[in-house]
Amino acid sequence: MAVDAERAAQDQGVKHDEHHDAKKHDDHHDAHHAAPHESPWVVTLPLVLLAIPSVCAGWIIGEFVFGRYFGNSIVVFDSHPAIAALAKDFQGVIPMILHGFTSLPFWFAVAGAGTAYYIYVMRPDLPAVLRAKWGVVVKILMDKYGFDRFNDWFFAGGARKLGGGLWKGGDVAVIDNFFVNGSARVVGWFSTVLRRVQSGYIYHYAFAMIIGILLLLTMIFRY
Amino acid sequence: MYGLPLLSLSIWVPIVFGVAVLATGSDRNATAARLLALIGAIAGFLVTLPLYTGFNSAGSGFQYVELAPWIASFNVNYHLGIDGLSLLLILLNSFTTVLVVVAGWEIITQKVAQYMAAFLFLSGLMNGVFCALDALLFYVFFEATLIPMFIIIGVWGGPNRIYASVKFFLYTLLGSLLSLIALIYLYNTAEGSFSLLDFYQLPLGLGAQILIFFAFFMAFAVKVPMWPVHTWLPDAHVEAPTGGSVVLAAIMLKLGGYGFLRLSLPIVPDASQYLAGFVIFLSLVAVVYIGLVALVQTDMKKLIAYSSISHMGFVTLGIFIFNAQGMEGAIIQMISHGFVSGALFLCVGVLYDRMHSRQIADYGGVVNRMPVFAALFMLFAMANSGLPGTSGFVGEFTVIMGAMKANFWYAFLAASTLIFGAAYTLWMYKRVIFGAVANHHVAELQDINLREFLVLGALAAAVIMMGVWPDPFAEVLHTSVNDLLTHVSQSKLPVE
Amino acid sequence: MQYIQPLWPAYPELFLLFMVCVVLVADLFMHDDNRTATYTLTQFTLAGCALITWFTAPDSGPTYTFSGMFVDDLMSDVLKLITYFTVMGILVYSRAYITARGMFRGEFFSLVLFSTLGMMIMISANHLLALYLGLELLSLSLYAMVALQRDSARATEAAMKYFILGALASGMLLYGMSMIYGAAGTLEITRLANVIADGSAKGNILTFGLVFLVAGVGFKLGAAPFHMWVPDVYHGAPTAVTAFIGSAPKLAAFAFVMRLLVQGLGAEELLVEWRQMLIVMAVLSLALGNIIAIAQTNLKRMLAYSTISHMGFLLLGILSGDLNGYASGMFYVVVYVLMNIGAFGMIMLMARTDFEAEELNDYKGLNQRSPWFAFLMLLLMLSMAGIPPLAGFYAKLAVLQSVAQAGYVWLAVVAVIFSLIGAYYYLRIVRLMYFEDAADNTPIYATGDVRILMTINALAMLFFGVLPQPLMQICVDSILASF
Repeated sequence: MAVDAERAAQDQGVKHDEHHDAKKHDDHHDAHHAAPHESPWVVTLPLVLLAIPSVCAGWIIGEFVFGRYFGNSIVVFDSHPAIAALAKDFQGVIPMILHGFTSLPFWFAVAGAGTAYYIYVMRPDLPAVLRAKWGVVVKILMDKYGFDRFNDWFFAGGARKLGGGLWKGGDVAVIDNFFVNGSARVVGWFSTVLRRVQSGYIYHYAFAMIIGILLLLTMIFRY
Repeated sequence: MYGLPLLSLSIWVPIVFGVAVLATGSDRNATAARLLALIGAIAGFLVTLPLYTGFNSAGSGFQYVELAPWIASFNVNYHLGIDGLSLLLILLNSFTTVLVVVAGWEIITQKVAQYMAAFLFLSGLMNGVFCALDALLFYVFFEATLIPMFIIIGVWGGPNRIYASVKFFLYTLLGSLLSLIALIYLYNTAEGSFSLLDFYQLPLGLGAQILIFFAFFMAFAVKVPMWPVHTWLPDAHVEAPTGGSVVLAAIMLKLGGYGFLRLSLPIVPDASQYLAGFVIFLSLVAVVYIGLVALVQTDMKKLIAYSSISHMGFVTLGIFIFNAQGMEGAIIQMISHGFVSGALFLCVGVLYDRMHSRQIADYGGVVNRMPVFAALFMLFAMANSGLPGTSGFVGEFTVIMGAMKANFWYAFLAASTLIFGAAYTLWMYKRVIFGAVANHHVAELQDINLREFLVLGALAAAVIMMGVWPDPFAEVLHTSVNDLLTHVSQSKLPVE
Repeated sequence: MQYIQPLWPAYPELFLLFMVCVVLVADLFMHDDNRTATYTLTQFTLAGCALITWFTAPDSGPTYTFSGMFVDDLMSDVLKLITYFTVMGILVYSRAYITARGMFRGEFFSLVLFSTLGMMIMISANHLLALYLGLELLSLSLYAMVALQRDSARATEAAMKYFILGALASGMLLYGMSMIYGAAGTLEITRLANVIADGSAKGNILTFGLVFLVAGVGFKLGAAPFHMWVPDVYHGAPTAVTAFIGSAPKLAAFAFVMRLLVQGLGAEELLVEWRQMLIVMAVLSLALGNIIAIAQTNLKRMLAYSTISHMGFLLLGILSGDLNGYASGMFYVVVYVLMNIGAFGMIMLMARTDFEAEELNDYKGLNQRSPWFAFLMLLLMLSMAGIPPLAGFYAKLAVLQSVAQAGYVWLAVVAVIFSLIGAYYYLRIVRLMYFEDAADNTPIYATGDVRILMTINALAMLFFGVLPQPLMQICVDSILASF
C-alpha cells in the first residue's frame, strides 16, 4: 500500500506541482522532445530498497506496537490506555491482514484507485466532460480549497502590508522625520532666527548690554 | 600567563600598527599599507588567544587584571580586567578585524593606508571598552570608537554617506553624553572614585537609581540599537563600506549589550529589575515590529540591518529576564550574531563589488553563476533564521527557554522571530540566488575568488562549530553569569 | 599684613616695559624689507620674560609689592608663563600672514608687547585700580591692533565696535568699582575680602556694585548677554589679531575673574549672588553660542560663537564656588587657549596673499590636499567638541564634575545637551575636510617653523588627551597655593 501511495504521489507530484516546476518540466520536454521515460537506477534502486520494508514491515508490527520492544522509553498514562485497548483486539498478523481487507479505509482506497483507473485509462474522454459539467467543483479541488491563496493573501500579503505600514508610517514618518530630522530642523531654524539678533548695529549691541545689566539687577534684587 | 600584560597588548598592538600603517603615506605604498595592516590584525588576534587558553572558567571576579594610576586628580586608574563575557567579545573583535582587513584588500583603492589604519584603531579601542574596569576609562574608549567609524562611513561610503555618518555620530553622542552625567554623579556619590568595582558596591536610593538607569539606557539603547532609537543603523549600514558594516554589526552593536551587562545591571540592580518590563517590552517590539519591517525591504543591506536590530532585541530580552539561561543565551546570541551578521554583510559586499547594486530586484538566479558563493550564503541565511546546527539556533533557543521560565507570552512573542527571521532571510535569499538568471549583468558574474572564500569560509567554520559544539564558548560564561545574577538579586537600596 | 617692598616680583613686567621701548626705538631705524630683527627682538623679549618669571617664582605663598597692589603667586606665574608661550606661538603663526598684508611693522609688535604687559598686570593685580590699569592697557592695545589694517573697512568697523562697546564695559566696571569703594572703603583686593568678612561693608551697595563688575567681567570674557562684540570683532579683525584676541586675553580675563570675584568678593553672601548671575550668563552663552554657530558659513565667525559657548563652560567651572571648580576652570581656559591658537593658526596657514581662507568651503577636501594638516585640524576640532581621547574632553569633564558636585546636576545636563548641538558644527569642518572633494587645489605653503609648531600644538591635544594629569596637577596646585 505504501509503495503504491508513494508511486502515485510521485506521479501526481509531477502534475500538480508549482507552476515553475511544471514549466521546467515543459521546458525540459520542449527542449528535448522526449517522451516520459524510466528513471535511472540511482532512483529505482532506492525505491526498490524502500519498497521491500514497505511491504514486509507489517509482519513484525505486532512485536513493536503491542509487545515489549519500547520497554520503559514510552510512558503511557493510565487515563489514555489507547494501545492497551487496541491490543485486546490484536490476534496476530494474519488475522489483522484479513480484518484489514474488510475495513472501510481499504475499500475507500480501492474505490479511489478504481475511479482513477476508470477515468484516466478506460474512459479518457471523461475528464474533459466532467470538467465542463462540474467546473466549479474541479476548480475548488485544484485550488486546494483556496487555503494556499488565503495564506498568500492573508499571512504573507498581510505581513508585507503590515511591515510596509510600520516601516513607512512608524520608522520613516514618526521616528526619523518627526523626531530625529525634526529636532535637527528645529535647531537649524532657531539658528537662522537667532543670528538676526546680531544685527550689526552698534547701538543694538550696547542696548543688549544695558538690558543685560537690568536683567541681572532685577534678578539680584528680587531675592 | 607568560607574565605579559596581555590586555594592554590587545589594546595597543592594533593601535600601534595603525600608526605604522598611517606612516606608509600615500596610495603609492598601498601594498605596504595592506601588508602591515594584515600583520597588525593577525598580531592583534594572536595576542588575544592566550587570554582564552589561560582563562580560569571556574574563577570568580576579573582575571588578567592590570592597575596603574592615570589621572590622579580624579582618582582615575588605568584599570583593566576581563571575565567570561568580555573574553568572548574580545576574541570576536580581534577575529573580525583580521577578516575585515582581508575583505578590503583589493576593494579599497583610495586612501588605503587611512582605511586600514582606521580599522586597526577601531579594533584596539573596542578591546579597550571590553576590558576597562574604570568607568572613565570605559567612557573614553566607548566614545573614542565613534571617530574612526565616522571617518570610515564618511570617506568610503555610499552616496548618502554624509547624512548617515553625522546621524550615527550625533545619535550615539547624545546617549553617551547623558551617561557621562550619570558617571559624574556616581563619582561624586562614591566620594571620588571612578572604579567600577566601587560603583558595584555603592548603595543608591531608588529614585537616583532610576535616573542613572535611564541615563545609561540612553547610551546603550542607542548603541544596541533598541526600538525606537534604532533608525541610525539602517542608514549607517546602507552607506558604509562593506568592512565598516561588518565591524559595525559584528562588534560595535555589542558595545551596547556589554554596557548593559557591565554597567546598568550591577550598578543599579533595583532600577534594572523595576524597569525590566519596560526593556522587555521594547525588546519584543524590536523582535516583532522590526521583523515585519525587514520583510518589506528592497535593499539587501537595509534588510540585514533590520534583521540585526531584531536579533539584538533577543539579546536585550535575554539580559532583562534575569535568569541564567536568558543571560547566557543573550551572550551566546551576541557572539553568534557577530559571526552571522558579519558574514551576511560580507556576502552582500561580494555581490555589490561585482554588480554595484544592493537592490534585490536587480538580482535573480545567482546560483547559476556563483554556486560556491550560493552555498556559503545559504549557510549564513540559515544561521540567521536560527536553523539548529548553526550558531544562530543556540542563542535563540536558550533565550526562548529562559523567557519561558519568566513568562509564557515573552517566549511566545520571542519565538515569533523564528518565523519572521526565516521569512525575510529566506525570501531575500530565494529572490536573489534561486530562479533563472534575471539579466545579462547577473549572467556575467564570476564566482568568489580565493580571498573571499577564505574570509567567508572562516566565518562558516565558526558558525558551524558554534552551532554544533557551543561548549567552548559557553563554559567560560557560567561563573560570570552566576556571579552577575547573584549580585543583581541583592538590593542596593540604602538601609533606612 | 606686611608689605615688603622688593621689586623682584615685578621684574618680568619691568623687563617687558624696558624691552618694549627698545623695540619701538629700534624699529625706527629699520627698513621695511628687513624688519625680521623686530620680530626676533619681540620673541626674545617674551622668552626673557618667561625666564625671569620662572626664576622669580615665589617659594612660599604669595608675595606682595607696590604697596600691596601687585601680587606674585603660583597662579599668576603659571598663567603668565602660558601667556608668554601663547603670544610667542601666535607671532610664529602670524608672521607670514601679516607680512603678506603689510602689517609687519614695529607698531604691530610693540602693540603686542603692550597688550602682553597689560595682561601681566591684570594677572598679578591685587588692587582694583591695578586691575583696571592692566585691563585698559590690554584693551587699548587690542583696539589699535584690530584697526591696524587701515584699508580694510571691515577691520575699521570691527575696531570701532570693539572700542565703543569696550568703553561702555569699562565704564560699567569703573562704576561698579566705585560702588565697592563706597561700600567697603578700600580698593585693595585682599583688604576688601577682610572688610567684607568683618561685616563692615554695606550689603546693598556692595551687591549693586557687584552686578556692574560682573557685567564688565562678562564683556571681557565674551559671555552672553555681553557677547555682541565677539562675532563682529573676530570676523572683522585680521586673522592674526583675532588669534591674539581669542587666546591670551582669555587667560588674563580668567585671572581677572579669580582676583575680583573669588578673592575679593568671594564671601559667602556675595558668592551666592554672583553665582546666580553667572548661572544665567553661562546658560545663555552655551545656548546662543552653540545654536547660532550652526548657521555660520565663515570659519572665523563660527569660532567666535564657539568661543562664546566655551566661555559658558568656563563660567560653569567658576560658579561651582569651590577650589575644585576654580582649578577645573583654569584647566579649561588653558586647554581652550591651546585649541584656539591652533585653530586660528590653521586659518593663517591656509591663507595666502589674496586669499583669506576664512570661509568653511575653503576647507573642502583638505584631506586630499594635505592629509597631515587635515589630521591636525581634525584633532583640534574634535578637541573643541569635547570628544575623548582629546584634551577638550577632560576640560569639559572637570568642569561638569565640579558643577555636579556643587549640586547643580541640572546645569550639567543642560551643558551636555548644548555641547551635543555644538558637536554638529565642529563635525561639519571634519566632514568638509574628509568627505568632500577639493575645490581649490593650490598647494598649501607653510614655513618650517609654522609646520613644527602646528604639529606640536595639535598633537598636544592628543597628548593631553592621553595623559592629562600633569597639566591638571599644575592647575590644581596653582589654585591651592594662591587661594
